[in-house]
Amino acid sequence: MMEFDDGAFNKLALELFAQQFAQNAIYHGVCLQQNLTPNVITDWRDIPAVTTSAFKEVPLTCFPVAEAIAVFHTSGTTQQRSGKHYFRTLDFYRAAMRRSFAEFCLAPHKKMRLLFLGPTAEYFPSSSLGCMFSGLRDEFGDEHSASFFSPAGVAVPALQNALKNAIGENTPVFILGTALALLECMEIFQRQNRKFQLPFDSRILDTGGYKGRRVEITRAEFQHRLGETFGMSREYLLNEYGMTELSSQFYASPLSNSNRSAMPSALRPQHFLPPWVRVVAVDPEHLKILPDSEIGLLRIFDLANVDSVMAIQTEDLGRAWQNRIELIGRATGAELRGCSLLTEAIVRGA
Amino acid sequence: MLRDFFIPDNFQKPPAQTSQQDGVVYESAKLSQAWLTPFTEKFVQPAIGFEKGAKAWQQSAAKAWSEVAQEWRNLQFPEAEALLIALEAKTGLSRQMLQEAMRNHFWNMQENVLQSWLAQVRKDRGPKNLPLATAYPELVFLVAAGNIPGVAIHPVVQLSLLGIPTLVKNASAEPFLLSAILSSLARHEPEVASRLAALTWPRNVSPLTEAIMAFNPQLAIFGDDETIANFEGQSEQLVGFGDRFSLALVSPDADEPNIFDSLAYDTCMFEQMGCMSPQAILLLTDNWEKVERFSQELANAMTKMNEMLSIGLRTPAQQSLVQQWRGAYVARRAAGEKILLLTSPGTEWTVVAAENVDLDERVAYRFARIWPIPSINKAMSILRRYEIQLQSLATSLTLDETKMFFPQFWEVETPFVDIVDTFPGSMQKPVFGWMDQNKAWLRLTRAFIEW
Repeated sequence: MMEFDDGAFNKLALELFAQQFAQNAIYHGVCLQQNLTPNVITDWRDIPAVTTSAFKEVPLTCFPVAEAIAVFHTSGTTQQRSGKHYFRTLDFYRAAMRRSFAEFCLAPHKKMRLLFLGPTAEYFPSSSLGCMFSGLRDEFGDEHSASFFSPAGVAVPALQNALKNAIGENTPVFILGTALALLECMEIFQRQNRKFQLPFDSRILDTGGYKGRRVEITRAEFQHRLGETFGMSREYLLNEYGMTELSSQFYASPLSNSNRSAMPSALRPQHFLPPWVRVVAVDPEHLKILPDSEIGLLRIFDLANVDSVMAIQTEDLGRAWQNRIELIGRATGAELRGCSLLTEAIVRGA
Repeated sequence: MLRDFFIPDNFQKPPAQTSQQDGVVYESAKLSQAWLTPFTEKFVQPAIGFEKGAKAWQQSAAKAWSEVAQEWRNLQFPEAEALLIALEAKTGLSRQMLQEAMRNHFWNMQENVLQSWLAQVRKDRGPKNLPLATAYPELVFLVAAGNIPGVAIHPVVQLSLLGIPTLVKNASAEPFLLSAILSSLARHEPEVASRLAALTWPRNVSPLTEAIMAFNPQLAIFGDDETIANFEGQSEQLVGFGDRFSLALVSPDADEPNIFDSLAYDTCMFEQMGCMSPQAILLLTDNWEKVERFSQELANAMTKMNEMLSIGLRTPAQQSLVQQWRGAYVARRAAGEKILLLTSPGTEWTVVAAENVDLDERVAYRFARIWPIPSINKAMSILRRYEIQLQSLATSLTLDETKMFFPQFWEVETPFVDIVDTFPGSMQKPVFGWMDQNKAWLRLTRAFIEW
């Protein structure tokens, strides 16, 4: 994947900041409150960030909201409003999705048998994960790729058949799902005393979000159970970090064909950043940028967020380097978010 | 040595193990169903209530509790220092805050106050021969929440005055305080303490909870809605103290010189995490200049209060929440809403005035929200909207506003009879009988008389 050096990234980031300052009226106001305008900003790190909470309050767009062709909602709890991310086009979202997935997850394959245990756009049009899963299926899925997740719940028998067929054909599969949906399947398979030995080069990608809700297990235990249930070694267990407020996703993947300086660890996966994204950690007390590798709240600069706001202040604790982050977790006590909430609601209702 | 349990002397103790942390030696009970079931079997017994001989018990209990209260107000008992160290580590609250908390919990527990409360209960129960008035439970299982240290003190004292056997399940987040208080009581009056026990186990260890539930206890649950719903499914005999919050209704023109210090105190106490903490200050005015002046004065008071009641350990998660709440107001102001945001340099305190406040989103950590309200009628409509969730209302109004407001607020048959009516500065130190505002609790302490 093409790399940007810091100078190239800085140039693009400042151009996008100037554009968003000019076209996004609310973001313009946010910047003015801090006296931070394109005239005074020369380094991408100083570009003002909006909090993820702002997406619950106001439409942050560089275009009239009525022109939005897609609106992705965060998974709100019963007491909380959900946030909304408006898109004038999904071209940037899809381009970012394709490039990252192809490089970090799919290589060396061009297509695979993708089996989804999470929302798809057909049933969940306001889910960014749904858009991502459907896009991946259309772009990278073979003719037997399918979704086993709907408002009715997880279709475990159908998934079981798909896995059996793949094993019979010795065709590697790629299971993609929310951690809760994967847990639900594993629990059912465990009750049935059923285990699989998936063909070599099969993979599983989970989108996280298994902490704080009905199910609480460590990542190591989760991976151990995945490995046991599906007969796979840990290097084929991948993790995605993304959020509705962004257009890019980050992957913890030992399968990347890039020459990376660090490999994910079992307990704290390191997620690699595509070249159009930079992340810094900030001190939660004063929101000052911390040196590389110090733990703080992650602030993400995503150049694929063209028509909203590029700089997002998250609630996630972690460490950041130029091309990767180490996610320590959502700051405990912060509102539960993420697609696993949607999954759990469906699993509970099923 | 601090313990995460209290078992009266006349019972066999559970196996225990000691450990050391932060320079304090702890002893934790190793609980099992095999120990808990026979213990509870022996612990269950008829309450003293107002049966024959009750007067002597009540006098003895009131005297003992008032002596305990005196000790705890001044933190003059052997384990005080160790307890403060442990509570600081467990709760993250500062020592100043914890000392103030003890003063507030026990400020109103003088012997005559406790006797007066008992006399009121006796009076409420009606004629002596009323058959319904004899049905005190033989066991109360009280589940304590961990957000406010000492949240279970007042209910435990009330149940103790009535001699109702009460088993408390401490929150794992704060298992020492009530156990230490009951140890103090046992030093003063072992007989009164013999009807109280405190144990600690995580909420997901269901066999221990089931062992208690097998005795069909009366439940008193302090906790989140999920905890209460979980117990509701298991028993109909339940008093729940769940997700509730408090408000202040204040006039900028009221003759109340200490109003800013009082509101800052109420907001900062317990880091605004309790049901008695104000989630918003409804400011009776439609004049934005008054709102700005009021907000600035409150911000000044918050700065002072920060020194008087220092913040203990604020975690990155708590800091992050404050930053997110502030960020939402910054965005709303950028969108054109009239909002004034005043903050400390870090996350210590926040004062925000906004024309709209979402009370469904709860805040904490010294985050004062000022909501300008143009009229008493508008204030009443807000109170009605949240009547089920309101725990207390503190008012500071002009004479004219008082005359307009209270007849509506106290209107017969409104649900507001459940709300504690108080004043700014007193929200965090409720009087001893404050829980009697809760109808279910009233039925329990009056032995299920229907009202």
